[in-house]
Amino acid sequence: MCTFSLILHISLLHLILYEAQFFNSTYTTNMAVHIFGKSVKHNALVRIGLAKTIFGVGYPTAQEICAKVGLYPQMRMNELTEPQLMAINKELGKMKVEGKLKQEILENIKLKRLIGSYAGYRHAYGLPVRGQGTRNNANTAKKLNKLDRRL
Amino acid sequence: MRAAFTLLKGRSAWKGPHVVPLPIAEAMKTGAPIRTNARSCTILPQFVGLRFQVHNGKDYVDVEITDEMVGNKLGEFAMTRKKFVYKYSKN
Repeated sequence: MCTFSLILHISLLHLILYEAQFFNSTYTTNMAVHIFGKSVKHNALVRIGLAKTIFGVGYPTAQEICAKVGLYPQMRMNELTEPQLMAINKELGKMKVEGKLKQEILENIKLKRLIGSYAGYRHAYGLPVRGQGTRNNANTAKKLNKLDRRL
Repeated sequence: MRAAFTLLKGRSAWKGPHVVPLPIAEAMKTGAPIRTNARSCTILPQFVGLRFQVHNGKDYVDVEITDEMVGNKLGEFAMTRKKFVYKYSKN
């Protein structure tokens, strides 16, 4: 009796494994997908992949892009066709993301320093800008705040 | 719309920018610096080109208003703290 149930279990397991294999076979490519000069994990959901890899695109914006291009929400990166990729790239090109956005942020910081404001001073000396204390810690500011800020 | 945004910076519209009465008309005629303790006064477009002397808690710091400063406060341009410098003492 015991052995019989064991065999049944094993056979079931095989069945599941077999199905899993079949399921995986729909995702053919194991390579990263390239969008906007960035490589995105091939099996990521499109909206999540976009939000995680592209600077200046969060979850709401990514969802917006997907809606504009006309992708269904559960779509994965490797399922995108070439025209769809092109459409996403085109949408991203219209927006202020990655290099353009980074450049704007740096310019804003430099302007603050140029006019001699307190915020600019705090950036230049690597201290917190928005009134936080510096008695201890303030480590994030010390790490990041510079005129040529790391983004 | 854009101008209003730079002046208000998230402050409600019905209040308008925080401004205190200052002798601007006089300063425009004579060109003399305006001596003030109102560090929290918002810099308006009318202030551009004027000279202020803003109190920093100890003395009055000279500030000349340029185009980019509009929307900030006067106090942002008069530092209240000195950077610590170690002084070597003899003996």
